[in-house]
Amino acid sequence: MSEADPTTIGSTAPGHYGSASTALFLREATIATAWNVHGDAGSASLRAEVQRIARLVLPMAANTTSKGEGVTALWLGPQSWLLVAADAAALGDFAGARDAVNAAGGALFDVSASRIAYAVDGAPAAAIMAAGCPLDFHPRHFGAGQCRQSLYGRVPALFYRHREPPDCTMLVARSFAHDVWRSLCTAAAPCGYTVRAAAPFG
Amino acid sequence: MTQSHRLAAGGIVDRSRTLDFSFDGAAYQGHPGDMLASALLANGVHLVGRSFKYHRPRGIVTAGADEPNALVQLARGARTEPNTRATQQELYQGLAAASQNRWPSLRFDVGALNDVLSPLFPAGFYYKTFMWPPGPRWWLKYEHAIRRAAGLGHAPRNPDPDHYQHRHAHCDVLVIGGGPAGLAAAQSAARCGARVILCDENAAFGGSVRGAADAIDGAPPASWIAACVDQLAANGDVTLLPRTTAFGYYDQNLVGLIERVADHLPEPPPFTPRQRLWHVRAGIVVLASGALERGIAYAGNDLPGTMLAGAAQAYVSRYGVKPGTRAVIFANNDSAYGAALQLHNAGVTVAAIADARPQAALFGDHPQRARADGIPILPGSAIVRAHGRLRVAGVDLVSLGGGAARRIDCDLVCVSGGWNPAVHLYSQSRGKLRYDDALATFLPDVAPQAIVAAGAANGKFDLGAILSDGHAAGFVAAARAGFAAPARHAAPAADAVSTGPLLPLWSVPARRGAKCFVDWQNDVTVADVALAAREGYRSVEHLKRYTTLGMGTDQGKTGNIVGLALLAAELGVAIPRVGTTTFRPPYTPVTLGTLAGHEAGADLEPTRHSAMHDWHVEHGARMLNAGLWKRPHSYPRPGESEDDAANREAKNVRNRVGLVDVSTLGKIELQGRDVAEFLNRVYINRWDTLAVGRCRYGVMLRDDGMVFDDGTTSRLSATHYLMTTTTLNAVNVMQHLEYLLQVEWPELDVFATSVTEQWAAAALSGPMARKVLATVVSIDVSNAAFPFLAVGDCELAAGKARIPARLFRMSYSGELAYEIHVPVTHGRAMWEAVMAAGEPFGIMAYGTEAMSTLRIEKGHVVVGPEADGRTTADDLGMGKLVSSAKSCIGKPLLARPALTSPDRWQLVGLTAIDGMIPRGGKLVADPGQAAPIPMLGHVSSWCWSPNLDASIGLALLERGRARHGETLWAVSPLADARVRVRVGPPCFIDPEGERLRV
Amino acid sequence: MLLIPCPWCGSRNQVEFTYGGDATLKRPPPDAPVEAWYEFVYLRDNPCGPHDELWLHSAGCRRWLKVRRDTRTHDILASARPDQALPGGEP
Repeated sequence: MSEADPTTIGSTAPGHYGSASTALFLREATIATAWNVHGDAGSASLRAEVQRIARLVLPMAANTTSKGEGVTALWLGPQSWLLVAADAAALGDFAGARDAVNAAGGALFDVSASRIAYAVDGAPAAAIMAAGCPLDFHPRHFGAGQCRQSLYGRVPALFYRHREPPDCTMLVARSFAHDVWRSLCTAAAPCGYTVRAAAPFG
Repeated sequence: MTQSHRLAAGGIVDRSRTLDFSFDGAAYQGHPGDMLASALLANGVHLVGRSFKYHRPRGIVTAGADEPNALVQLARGARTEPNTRATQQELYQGLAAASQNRWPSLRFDVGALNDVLSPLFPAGFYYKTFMWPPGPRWWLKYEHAIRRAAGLGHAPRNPDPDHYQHRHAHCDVLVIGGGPAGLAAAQSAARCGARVILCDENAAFGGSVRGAADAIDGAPPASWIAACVDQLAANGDVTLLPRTTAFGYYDQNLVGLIERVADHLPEPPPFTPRQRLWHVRAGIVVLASGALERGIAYAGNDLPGTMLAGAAQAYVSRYGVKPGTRAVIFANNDSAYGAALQLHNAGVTVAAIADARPQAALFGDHPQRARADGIPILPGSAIVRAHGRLRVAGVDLVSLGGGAARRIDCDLVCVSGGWNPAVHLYSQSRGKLRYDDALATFLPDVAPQAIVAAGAANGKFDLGAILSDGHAAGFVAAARAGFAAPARHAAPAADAVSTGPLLPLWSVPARRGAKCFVDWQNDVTVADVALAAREGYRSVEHLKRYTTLGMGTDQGKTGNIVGLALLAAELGVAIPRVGTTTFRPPYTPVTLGTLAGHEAGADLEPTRHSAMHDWHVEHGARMLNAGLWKRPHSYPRPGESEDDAANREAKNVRNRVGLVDVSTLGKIELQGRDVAEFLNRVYINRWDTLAVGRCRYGVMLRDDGMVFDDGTTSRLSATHYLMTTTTLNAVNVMQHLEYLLQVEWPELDVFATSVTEQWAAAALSGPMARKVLATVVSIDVSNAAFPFLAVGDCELAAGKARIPARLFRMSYSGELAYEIHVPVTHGRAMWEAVMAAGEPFGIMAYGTEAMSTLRIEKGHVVVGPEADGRTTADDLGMGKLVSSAKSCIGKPLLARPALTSPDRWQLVGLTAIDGMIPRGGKLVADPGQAAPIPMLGHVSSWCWSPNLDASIGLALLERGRARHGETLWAVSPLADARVRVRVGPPCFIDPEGERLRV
Repeated sequence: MLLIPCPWCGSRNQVEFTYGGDATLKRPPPDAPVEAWYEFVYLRDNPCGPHDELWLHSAGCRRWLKVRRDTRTHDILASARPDQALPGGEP
């Protein structure tokens, strides 16, 4: 670990910041590919096409996710899902996939660069989320494998728990990322936090 | 002076450590656990402030949030805070406080002249006195002096050095108040498995029983409290929030809490917020906020040394402080006897208990014990007048049956007129109150939101009843939140105390002119209430506004019920008929910084950065706000002004080539079989003819026919389109399209998603643009292969890397131009590659200012200045775009006569004949004519055109298209500018558009 | 801050939503008389009591929804998808 200056709250360099406690960890979770699937959830052909492309079954229940080989599908709405892969090879060529999904009556949008993901882990993680987000992060209400869209401060954010709480990942639009990161760090500083090197999403 | 009034034992203060503090410059000592008020009393200091209107000397009256008098200014440099309640400010080492509302000193205050002149200042004196002579001029003259005389304390002058945080929280049961009822409720709710938040305004839980002599479950309260708190703290689903006030109750059980994280310290520790605002969404609320004691009005009832009896008891039992040496108690209920016994046991001489009730009512346990201890009790009597100047020196007692007054010397008067449950939050929740005749006060009744009151807040005043009420409320709350009770568990128990009835008594008649205070903080007297009633103020809300009863920082916590009872008596109606004033948040004052939280200063709003943001900053750009985005205004070179930089950049685009960051444009992708039909319906022009690989300019209207937004839409594949919007309307257009697709036309097979965040975009403009582009992209960009309005994918070489890119041949500047879109993650590499490729051709980055100049030279309209919500497409010279072959949003109302009138304001270009066109100028025919001068139009955009060497502008002008060639005046009275302008077509450069098609 | 039950996502804080106006309005056909359009674009009732409104779950699933809100109390009485009727018909 580098000798980061603990007072430079908002730095993305790995190191320890804020108060002395070391129970909280922040890092970027890298995303290679993110595709937004739109379509009729009741359409068997759409579901089959997505299964062929992403090798997973789209989650139909609100606020849930599903996983395939290297791909995670997050429910965004009754007609909208986000396919996320940390490795570009997991999803392949976009234009071909788009044409296939179009043919199946749905839509496929490449949003790979749109969002940046931050993983927050450690016992105070829920409190850090609650500093900016009105969602309920209690394990009874937001368990592993669930996702929800809401806000962090005033910035739209997608929250995802791929493991048991307290772990939580949030995805925010890239243009806001510097601001959200600083907000996260400010919220985390009173209890102290460690920035870790970026690691793949999932 | 070393704590002359501190008891040797008792209370929750830590006598092993001392803390130094100062008040009005004098040094004192106290102990950890003290409030500023208890520490002052321990040093024999009662006089702590001057009253608001009459500048009368005032002392500490309460021991909590209801304090009307002991408001001090905390001196902490930029952290100074006025109106701090000494009764709630924890003592810390080095605390420095000052009294307020006095000059030159607390003991000698010039403003006290107001007290002598008080016949001139009855209720409503503002409204009466300053109405004459009529007219605002005189009011302004008075106002200056009045404003200086009024007000308590002073606001900090420097920026707040602290930071504040917000926290959202969810719970099944929120318990407000950590006294015996709240602790019992939290305990039983937690036992059911509910998620519980327990908050209390004090540093420690326990409320009124902290330091008290009672026994709970056969043990001292301290051990019961400790066991209870330990048990709750060990439960992961319980959040304990001491030093936290529930200040507001909002819709759907949202409760606002203020946690004073660091107010008990000289300054917050590193990284720690001073205060934290909690937004708690509770399944159900248990309101265990206790009760507030009320006074009885008699002449001189505001002299320092006069306290509520419960407060005197708290200072003895909780803080180990003797608030006086010789006390007289004045009461109409049993609770004051507890205070009397406590004072008596602490060595204070209780000279008399004047009890308004007859002997027959004094059968309760506490009166009997007082009698047994030899305390003189005077049934059926009252204080009629207090003596003293800066401290009470004695009181005159009378028998309510008649007879002469008898003076008793004392330095402490303890008053109890009964107790009012702290129903503020219950009322804020829209809960209804009912009047209880036995307690002579309002109690919680029914509430539409999920809230239950418990303990003293619910009208229970016996400790055993308080504990069992809280215990039961916890189970009820948990059950209503869906948690079944485990095996029955007994409520904590306390010895039952027999209590006699209360006798309602609000005031004691006084001789004419004597002041009997109802509301100490606002100096409202019994006579003021009577005057208001005589003058026709029959509603309690009007009484409040007329007399200021119940205003100020304490919001009448001690005086309100007394005031409305007096009004009821004046009006001859029952108290419930008069009712209470509306309780509104906040319960106690809230620091504005806490409400703002993180959103202050540079973080007032979130900001958006494009992928090229750092490049702009590194290259000297002055950044500008565009909505939430930061955009480069211009790139001034050393020694160059911003205007010169923008002119240089704009000129370079016309002569060579420039690159501008347009990532902020809204980008929406559309897919589906019906996209062309959808575009036909939302744009004024036709889209079913757009071929794959082509783009087109489009204009959207609102339903009322006015221009809403403009941009281009490209067809990327048979079923895949990309729409761009203006930067400012990106969110609105997306929302508009989603509304149409989901609500109005769900039958259309169209899917839309915003891809603004996916693509970084730059516009390469100028005669050299093609030459620059050809060196970096993988496709043929000749005019034949990639003509005007072509769209295509390619690769862009950035060093050794090949970046996937999308090219658009479109122009905003009017020059040969291309837009280059790449995924945001490649934005900076693309930008640097194009800048490097352009270097041999003289490329310069240009900012929004040059971009604006270029578009004004071309007469392009923008949303805001020209499309200002009042202009149609025809007004802006785009009437021909409106397709006659189809309808679209906004078209049905375009046919209205006013929108087709030839007199409408139409877009024109202006060239200054002499001088510079003024910002926001109005167009008139003759500025010399007599006012009012008819306004013919206004300047919507203006700039210095470095390419024309002229001051030019765009304007909306009545019958503008028919006025080309006319000379008018652009005037700005604000800037004292009048400039002759020549009217012409809006496009100044290359009206045929040849440059962009080469 | 209200708590609004999104028909898809569940109850969420008001900050996630954008208000979209009166849900009882019916868009006239393009060739309807100008009076019908005038009414649709400009005329609004201001009911005291239950009111059906459109909201967009803008920071959530980005779906429009109907919400019945009591304008006197801010009580949220019901919500529904745009193509569904709120329980009990029009207020």
